[in-house]
Amino acid sequence: MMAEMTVERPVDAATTAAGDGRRTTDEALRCEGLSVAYGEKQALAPCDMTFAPSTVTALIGPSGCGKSTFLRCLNLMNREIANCHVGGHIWFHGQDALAPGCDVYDLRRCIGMVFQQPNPFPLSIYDNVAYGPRRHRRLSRAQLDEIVERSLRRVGLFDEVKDELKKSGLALSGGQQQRLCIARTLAVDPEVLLMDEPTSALDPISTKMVEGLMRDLARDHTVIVVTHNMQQAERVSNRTAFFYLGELVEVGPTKELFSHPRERRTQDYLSGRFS
Amino acid sequence: MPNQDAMTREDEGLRLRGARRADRAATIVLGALVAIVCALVAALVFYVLSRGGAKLFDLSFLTGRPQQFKAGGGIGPELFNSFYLLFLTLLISLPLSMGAAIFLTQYAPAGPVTTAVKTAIETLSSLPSIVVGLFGMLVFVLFFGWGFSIISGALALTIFNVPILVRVMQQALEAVPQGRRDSSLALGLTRWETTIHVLIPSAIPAIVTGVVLSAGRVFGEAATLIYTAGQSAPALDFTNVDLTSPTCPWNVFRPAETLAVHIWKINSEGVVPDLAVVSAGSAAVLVACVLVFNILARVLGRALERKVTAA
Ligand SMILES: Nc1ncnc2c1ncn2[C@@H]1O[C@H](COP(=O)(O)OP(=O)(O)OP(=O)(O)O)[C@@H](O)[C@H]1O
Ligand SMILES: [Mg+2]
Repeated sequence: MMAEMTVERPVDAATTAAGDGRRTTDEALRCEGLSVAYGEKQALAPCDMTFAPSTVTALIGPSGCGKSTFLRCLNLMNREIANCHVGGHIWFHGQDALAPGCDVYDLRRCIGMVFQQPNPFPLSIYDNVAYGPRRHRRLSRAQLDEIVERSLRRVGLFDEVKDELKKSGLALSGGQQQRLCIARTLAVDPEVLLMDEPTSALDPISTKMVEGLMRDLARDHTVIVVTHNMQQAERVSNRTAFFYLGELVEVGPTKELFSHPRERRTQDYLSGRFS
Repeated sequence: MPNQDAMTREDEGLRLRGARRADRAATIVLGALVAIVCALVAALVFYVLSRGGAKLFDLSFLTGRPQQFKAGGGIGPELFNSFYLLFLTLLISLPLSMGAAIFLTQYAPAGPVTTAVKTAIETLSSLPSIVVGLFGMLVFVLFFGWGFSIISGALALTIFNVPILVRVMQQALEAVPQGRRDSSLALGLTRWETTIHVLIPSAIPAIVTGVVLSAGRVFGEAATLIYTAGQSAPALDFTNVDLTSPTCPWNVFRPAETLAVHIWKINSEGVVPDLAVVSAGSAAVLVACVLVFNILARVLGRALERKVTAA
């Protein structure tokens, strides 16, 4: 269906030729002809993109261009929006996440998501992190303690809160809350991390910490981050994708894209000619 | 040019002054309106308590049996009946309305059916209570043949209470930040797990406040009960645990006059000589209980809010 369309789609240089969805070593997640419509209104034109393992990919573009829409597809959060229609394929471990038989709960556990606003649950810090693992598996107290400590350490929060794990997660500062939310996502051990403007509600110091965290997480995770901050994209990402008006315009290595954008629209956006 | 500047500045000044005057006037008028409302409530409570307040501390009145013909009767059975009916009503209406609210906010797809259900619930919540009472009489008392009984009364009160509770719970659940729900789903949890472990704990302070406030309304309700729970209060024997015996307090098939119905009855057909005293005392007890419910609602709501957000 999608393949029959004659519209020219931006081709990601890293996209592998294999059309059968087989996973190659340099591919953690691959979209093929992914498109989204809200009701009648198309929000994302069919696009292809491949995400390599252990990389950070930044999604940039003006407000309303479909970055969040694209991101929400990847762990099927769009299923929660009535009248949102997603077309195409999302290949993950050789399976199409958009195929009818795919287990959305398993998929979301493997592809975690962090949101713009820090939103801890009204539970203790400990229970916030233990929340996911507890629901998914039977764990002993010791195992759970270990997961909580490891997740909190990973986000550099453990030493700050180790004496008050019983305290409500809502009593932390904004930056701490966001790191708690990242720890909560890490606790279910995802392979891919989706982050939708994770630092836009944070102060510069917390932002620095979360950026460092993204780089660190990219050692063993595939990180995909939406950002409005060009410097942030340059600082943290290996590859950058530029969206404009519901279309993936261009994607490439970050350095290349920022210094020699191939498309005129990318050039205009980067030089601030439209926002 | 400078002239024009001065002009606009003057205009601006006039406009500002006008706006400030309007603001001051609004403050005064709104303040006066609030004062009138407060005065009304205070006057009512003061009147009721000044007439029957002394009875609040009269143990023989609070626990004694009502009298048919001579003075000195109490309201013991009525007080017990009121609390027992309230308890049973909440026992039935809480799970019902919780389920309905969860379904409507989390599961029901937006569409004509959901809209119809929501409209139906809103209509039900504005139904006159005497109509609910007569409906209860037709269905529970006559059709099911349960007679004037606690169970008939509790079910009628449930019809009266459920729409209010559903709305309170719906609003509480809808007020939970969307991101919190999404975060839970994004961890791979089902909607049900998300509802149980994230949404309800988040909404519980508002839900508790709403439930206790609705309890105050149920406690003082008379019209719904006159023709369902009946107007007689058989003597209760608290040592009797035979659930089929009419003197067993826990027997749900016995008739049970509540405090509110008692006030209505002695005023319309009472023949006791100290009618005015009994009526004023009962009213004071009723008002005191409702006041306690309202204060409890605030205290509990705030305490839960604090527990959820801090410490
Ligand atoms: N739930 C929804 N229902 C209908 N339309 C939506 C919905 N969410 C987003 N849209 C539309 O889809 C388009 C893309 O929105 P999206 O949120 O993906 O933009 P974005 O690039 O993330 O913008 P921002 O940078 O402001 O977050 C917009 O035109 C928006 O109006
Ligand atoms: Mg967005």
